[in-house]
Amino acid sequence: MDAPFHFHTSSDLVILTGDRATSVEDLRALLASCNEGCVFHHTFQVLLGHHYVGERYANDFAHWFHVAAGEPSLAERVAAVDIRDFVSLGELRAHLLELIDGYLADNSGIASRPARFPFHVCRSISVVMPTGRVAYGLEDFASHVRASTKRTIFYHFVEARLRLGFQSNDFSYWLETQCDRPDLAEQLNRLDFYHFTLENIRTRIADIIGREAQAA
Amino acid sequence: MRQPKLQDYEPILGPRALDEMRFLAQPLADTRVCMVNSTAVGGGVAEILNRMIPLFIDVGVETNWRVIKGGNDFYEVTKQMHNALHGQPFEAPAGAFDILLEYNRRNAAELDIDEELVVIHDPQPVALIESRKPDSHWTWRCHIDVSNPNPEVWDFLKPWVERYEAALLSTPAFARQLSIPQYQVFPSIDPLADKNRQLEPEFIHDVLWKLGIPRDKPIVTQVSRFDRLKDPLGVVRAFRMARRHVDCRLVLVGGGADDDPEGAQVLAEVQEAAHGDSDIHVLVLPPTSHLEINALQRASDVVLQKSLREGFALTVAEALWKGKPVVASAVGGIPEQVLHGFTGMLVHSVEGAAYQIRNLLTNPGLARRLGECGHDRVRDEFLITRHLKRYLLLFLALSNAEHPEVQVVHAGN
Repeated sequence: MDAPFHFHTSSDLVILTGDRATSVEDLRALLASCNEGCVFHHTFQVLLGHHYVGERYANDFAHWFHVAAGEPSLAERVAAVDIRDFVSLGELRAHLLELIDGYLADNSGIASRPARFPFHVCRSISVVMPTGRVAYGLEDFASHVRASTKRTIFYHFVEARLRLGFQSNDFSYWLETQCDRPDLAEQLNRLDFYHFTLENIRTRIADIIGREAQAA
Repeated sequence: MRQPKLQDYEPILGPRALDEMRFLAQPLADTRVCMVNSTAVGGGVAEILNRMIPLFIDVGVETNWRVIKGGNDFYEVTKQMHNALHGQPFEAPAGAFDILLEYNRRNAAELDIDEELVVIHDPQPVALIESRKPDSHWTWRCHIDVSNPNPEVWDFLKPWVERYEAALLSTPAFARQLSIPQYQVFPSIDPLADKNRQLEPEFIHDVLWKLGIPRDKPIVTQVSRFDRLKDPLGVVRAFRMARRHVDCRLVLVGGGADDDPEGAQVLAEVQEAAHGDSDIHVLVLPPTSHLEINALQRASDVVLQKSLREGFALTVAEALWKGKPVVASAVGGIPEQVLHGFTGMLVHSVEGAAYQIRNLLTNPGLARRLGECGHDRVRDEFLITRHLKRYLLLFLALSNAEHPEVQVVHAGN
């Protein structure tokens, strides 16, 4: 191994933009013009908090289209968007806009219909600090993962996609490039953060790597 | 009473979350924080500061709490401003803003605030910003719903607010268009306070017995002062509509109304509406009855908050924390706490409240699931420890130039 793995923690602060949408076309306009940090907040950041509302859609736009705008079909299309399929927030935004435009082309009558309640556009910033925990091998790595907060898991496993061009996560990247273990990298990358909670993801990563460390 | 320590929260949050909090506080060890508000006792802000400042100190961040002083003329103006920011007419005498500014000047001289991180709470001390020392970071914490303010008062306040580095608001619905960043900082409840801590079933039983509330049928409760904006008469109507289908009791509990002529009038109207109905209990308890309120909430099968207007409505968080299914109006900060169908039921009318009371009393599985999810949401977002963490993060973000180990990352462009 060339370089050890440094664990960080990241926590978010939510910035309120004061912008609010009261119809589908309003939200489309705000989505087109907002800071990319807003796209991040309403697609990535919500993954952190909604484990206790498992039936709720995994992004805020879809949820609002369903419960406020009364457009379940649009909601389902937007909910099906998987952030892992994109390489930047710009691309993710463009795809969301394309979905909304396609829907409005077939349903123009609903564009300006008032929603039941407004969509408040927010933005997240992350405060990142090194935790001082460093892994020099698989055994260390597994035990540090097990002791990590879900914020640390979110930072390295979900948010990392933004730094790595969306295709991987910090853990997989380190296992592949520093430990020469593309097989483990791939196993971790397949863990589905849409359907497992972050606590679940933490346990699974620690178990996968812990088993390998013992076998080695 | 012993001041709470962060360690006391470990059974609720687990060790990882507490370690993270101590870790976040480390870079702030040589930084001093000052909180300023207008009252040391009474009111939600003083209550939160009383509980939170010991926690700041416990994690190693020196934090001072200063309270501004004013005469009756000052408090008359600030009360009018408070009501006007809620959208009511501004009925203060001519020169009202000059009175506020004069008291702010006197307080600035007396307090001589020299801490590096300063949080000014609400409009009363807003003009203290004039005394900001170089290299200090000042934020304005607004606990009021300013989404629809009286323009005269907002036009006065806005230029003062925009002199701060940031504004802190309780919910996105309260946000305005400002030239400074507006951060979301939810208010919080303390799970270890008498209002919220675990109680023995025997204690709950004794409290209900002393208050004369039989436990022979399901209990529906609303905790709120007797104020028209809490719609207690609407609660009585909703209860009666629900009772036609499912047998239950209503407990309406609030504080005394001696200093509030309108409150006394509303209480009289509620008592009149409930007269002769042995299923309706109207209770007036002293303001120190935290354990009794806690016991009543814990004994309830459904908790209501059928307000017409609200600030953040922390009584909702209190009920959710106790795992209770909540039926609440979609006003103020309530929709942040009650995610409709997930952590409770939002309603928009007396009929809606009646329907959801029936729904929850006849579907105990649904009621239990909502209560469990509501408890989790409060644990994640509305406990005093989360509030403390948000402040630590904010302070790190504001002063990060002084802490090279702290990185503030803005996603995207």
